[in-house]
Amino acid sequence: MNEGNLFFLLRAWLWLRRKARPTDVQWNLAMAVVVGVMGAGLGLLFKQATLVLQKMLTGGAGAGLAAFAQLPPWQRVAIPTVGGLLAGLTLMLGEKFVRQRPTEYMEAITLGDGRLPVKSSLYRSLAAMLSIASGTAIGKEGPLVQLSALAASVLGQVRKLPPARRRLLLACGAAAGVAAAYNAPIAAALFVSEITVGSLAMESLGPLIFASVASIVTVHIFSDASPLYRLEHFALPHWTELVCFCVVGIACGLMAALFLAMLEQFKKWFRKVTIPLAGKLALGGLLVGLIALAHPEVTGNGYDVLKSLLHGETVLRPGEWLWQAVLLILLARMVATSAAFGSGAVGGVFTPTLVVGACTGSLCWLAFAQLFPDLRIDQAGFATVGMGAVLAAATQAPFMSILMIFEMTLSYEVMIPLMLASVIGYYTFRGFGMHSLYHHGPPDAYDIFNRPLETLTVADIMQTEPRTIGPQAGFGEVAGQFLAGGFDRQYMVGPDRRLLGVVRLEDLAEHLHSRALAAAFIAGDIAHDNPPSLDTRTPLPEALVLFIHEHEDELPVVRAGTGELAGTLTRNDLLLTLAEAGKRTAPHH
Amino acid sequence: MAVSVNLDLVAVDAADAIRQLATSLAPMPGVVDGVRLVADVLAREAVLTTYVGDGVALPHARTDAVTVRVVAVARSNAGVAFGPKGERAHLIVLVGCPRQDVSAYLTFSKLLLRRLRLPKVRAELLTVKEPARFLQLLELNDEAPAGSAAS
Repeated sequence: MNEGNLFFLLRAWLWLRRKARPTDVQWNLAMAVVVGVMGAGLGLLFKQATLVLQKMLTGGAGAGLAAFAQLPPWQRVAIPTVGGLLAGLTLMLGEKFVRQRPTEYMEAITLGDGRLPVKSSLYRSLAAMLSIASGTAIGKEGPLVQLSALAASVLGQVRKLPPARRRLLLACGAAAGVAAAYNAPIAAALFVSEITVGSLAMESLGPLIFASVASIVTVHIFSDASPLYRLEHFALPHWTELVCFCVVGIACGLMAALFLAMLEQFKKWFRKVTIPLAGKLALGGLLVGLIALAHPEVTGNGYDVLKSLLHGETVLRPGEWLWQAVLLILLARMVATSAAFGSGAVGGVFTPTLVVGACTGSLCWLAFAQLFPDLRIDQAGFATVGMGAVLAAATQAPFMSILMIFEMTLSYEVMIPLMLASVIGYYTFRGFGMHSLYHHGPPDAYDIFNRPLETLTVADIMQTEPRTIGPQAGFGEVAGQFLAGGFDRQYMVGPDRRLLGVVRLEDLAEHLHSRALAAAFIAGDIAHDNPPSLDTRTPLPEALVLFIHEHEDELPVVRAGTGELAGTLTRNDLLLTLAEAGKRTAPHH
Repeated sequence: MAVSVNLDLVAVDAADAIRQLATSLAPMPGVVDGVRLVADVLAREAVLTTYVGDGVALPHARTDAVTVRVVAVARSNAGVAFGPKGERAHLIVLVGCPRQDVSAYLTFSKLLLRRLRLPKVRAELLTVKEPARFLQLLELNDEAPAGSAAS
């Protein structure tokens, strides 16, 4: 490109930027849509791939509980065991060859800086597919959401977004995944907002809703659009019946606590078993398989069981549900999922949690139906409310739970008892002082947001890879970099990378009408000398003072002593870090 | 701002022209280091030519050798080889600027170059006899010549 063209382009681009520059919010919304479509696409692919794998592992018997139940007993034991072994081997090989600390999407949003490690996420997804396809009692939605979040994280890193916006984009990916997995876009946006971002501010909620909508629209284009568990005929409850739902709420809160305690206990037991990971997962699979000998209902994430509970028919044998059967399934499911999860299998516990809730609700209904023969609400209603209440308790996110169940069933009548029981379940669980399903253990020391503020320096939060330019670069090169980049500063460095000056886009903007000027000037002519800069060792509060003093949005960071350019820091990143660190440390003081 | 005018420059090459123009500025107020001024403009010219076409060159530098902007204008009837392909400059404007003032430097250079791009102005600059008129054409007249070389 010759100088004249470059010059014209830069002028046109600057004009466009001034006239039509998308605000950060508009940009975030646009990215959210991209992430939403990607997330849905990946989700559909993951589901298809798992189905294919399932057919291979079961020798073509097909997917679903009915197919699994028809397998000969030895296969019912063998398949989850072999699947666990394969998944475990995948994890072991992954850990050996990919030296990368795996991070769950929840953790990356709440604690991290919005970066998900790519390789470890991929091999863990493969392991999850093996576990799920072999019938291990674990949810398939978790890994699906992880993949969607991963795509968003990669996009954020490719676009070189600052940490705060990377986190938002990652959250959008998670919301897109949840929307696609459960056909529940409203709950998806709220789920991520409530659990991971921890606020309902429009700055984050807006992009999350865009991502959810884009995702669900994509899913509707390519596959079935019906709600997961549609409910028929549900009478608005009489006020006396609401008392029954209060009991359901309490029961669900207790059951959620029991379920989570079991998950923890199995994790502890498996930690004590000193065999390789593949052995542990095989052991977990074997346990699931053994339970499946008597109760095939425990395999998979529990979708089929849920459907049958909500439609009041037993899943494998025709007839009504008996309380003994429901109780057995409840206990077997809790043990099986705990075994699978505790062994280290990669997968979610979301749908298994719903099964626990549906069983608890059904048990309550069976009891109340005996006590009050003229109860108008059927088992499906109680099962639905139970799902919501256990979910609200276990996740400690009642809004999300209420909306999620509403979207899954599309029954408005269910809302009133659902809201009541969910909130009661939430408070009941909270009384135990336990951590929720999505709590993350003690935060890692590596995570900058959890270090004491006093120990943080500019080097911890700066962006490395600053845009540099040599002092002898012609105007064409400077203009070209500005055109390609979308940034407002270029840092002029000498051959030893010492910071010499700053070229400001706004300086050029005023003088773009003179083409001759461009011909006669180089970076060294237009750079500001001795720019204000931060030291890598500068403490954050001190950095803030400089930002306020200089009225700059971005400052260069030089290495202490050498004057070498190490990176850049934006005011926005600094403020977000200070706010976040303040939020984390506040309760402890 | 200090301005010097030389309407009859004779120089063997760009470096010679720059040396002559910068040296003419040395005694002026605002120039703290005449030798340094010459060296800085020469060093800048060595990086990338300041020949801008149409027989015009704008050797310049931001330098600590001056505390105010200084300008030396010159005309060479024979022309001085300035451009990368040996293009000859007939109108040479040397600008020395204090280091800190990037924006004013660019604004000033831009106005100067804008005048020099007009064919009418250039034509008159090449023929005019009066230094005052020469400066007026470049819109430098309000900055009265602090000293003027032979014309």
